[in-house]
Amino acid sequence: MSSILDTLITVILGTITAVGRTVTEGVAAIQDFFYVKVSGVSFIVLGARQTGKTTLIEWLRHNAGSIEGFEPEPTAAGGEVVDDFSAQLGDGYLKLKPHRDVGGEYAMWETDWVELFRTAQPNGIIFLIDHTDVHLQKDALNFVMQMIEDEPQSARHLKAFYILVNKSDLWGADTTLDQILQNYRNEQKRLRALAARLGFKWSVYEGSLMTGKGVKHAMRQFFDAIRPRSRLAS
Amino acid sequence: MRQLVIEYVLEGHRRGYDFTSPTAGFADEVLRTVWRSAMPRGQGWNAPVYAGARALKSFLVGDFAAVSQVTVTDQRDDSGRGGIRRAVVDVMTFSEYTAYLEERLRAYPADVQAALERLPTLAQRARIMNRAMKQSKQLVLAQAYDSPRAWQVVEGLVIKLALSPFPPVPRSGRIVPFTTLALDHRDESALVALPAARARQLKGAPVVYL
Repeated sequence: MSSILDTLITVILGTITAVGRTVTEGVAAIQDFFYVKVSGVSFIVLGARQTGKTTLIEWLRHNAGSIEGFEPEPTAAGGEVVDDFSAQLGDGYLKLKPHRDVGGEYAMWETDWVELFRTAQPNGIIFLIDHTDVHLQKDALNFVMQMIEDEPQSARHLKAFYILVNKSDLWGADTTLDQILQNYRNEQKRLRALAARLGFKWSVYEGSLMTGKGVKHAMRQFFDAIRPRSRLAS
Repeated sequence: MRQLVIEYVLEGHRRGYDFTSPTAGFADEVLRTVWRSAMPRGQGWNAPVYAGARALKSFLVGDFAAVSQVTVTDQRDDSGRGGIRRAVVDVMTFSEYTAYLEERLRAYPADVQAALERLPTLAQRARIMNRAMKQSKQLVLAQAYDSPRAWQVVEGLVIKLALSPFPPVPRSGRIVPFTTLALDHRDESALVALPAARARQLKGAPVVYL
């Protein structure tokens, strides 16, 4: 008798679990559709000056294609509004929501970066570095990590923090990603701890926005990590 | 009246856009507002046609008004990027503000002043009022951009409209915020002038071609 009861309870619980899973998956799929097709996936692009923030946004806007002839000017105080746009990064189009293009100078950090972070409350942050001016770029990276710690309300949707070491076409012949990252050992430790504490993914990629090498893969991983329902994981 | 300057610094540790005039005595909030508002929006200032271009931008700073005079410089940064601008921002009381703009109108060369006396024309006024009747929060004026000298007429017209007792856009506090030359209308003043080539690319913006 008790084994029949056990079986019955198992069947009922199993059915409830299965129905629950189906409902959860359905809700996740609807949520994913809403963000990816209607609302837009919210992210921000930060990094010290001349690391390629404006160029990355333009590259995404050009559907991850060639941006030959694009000559950005230094982004002025206050930054520039960037409308939502769709880009194909993988099996379909994603609606992307970068909010604003901001400059990378010291003077922008306390003003434009913090304001952008507060306004966007992003799902993801792409942080650009390159092979130059290590001290400035370490300062910028530490500033962003401190900003995440100081602004928990703005960081509450954060699902991924990806560092893109840009301009590999310029440094690839002389050095390696590992050698560049040697300069950022403490920052990587700090980011690892922060990511574990706040529950977001972090990763480092190399690439070149000018040649496109490596960037498409990095961006595909990044946007997959911040959309509600991961495609690459499934 | 007090002045702030934002320039592109090419030397030292804090390279890039920064305040280059003393900021002591200004509240942080004032500096933040000036920083955010001083530059006209849009990318593309490095195009040869905008060499030496000038824009005036007025905005509220707490209980004060500010007018930013922005010039496209011939500077290039260490990556060779151009389109670098310099902003000189005058922060003043509201009573100083009107006198300041009237003085600017009087300071134009004689031919510009003569042209401004006839502006806006009846046709322009009709188009502007037609747009104003639609109660849009922003009015974008557009004209072909030729040179900084030629654009002074548009600049003067924008100032005249902003000082008008019945401005075509709602006031913000005690002033009509305006920008006499921008390359993008988004995130811009209520009254903004754009080169016609830029305005033609806008979708659904309240543009009046002069």
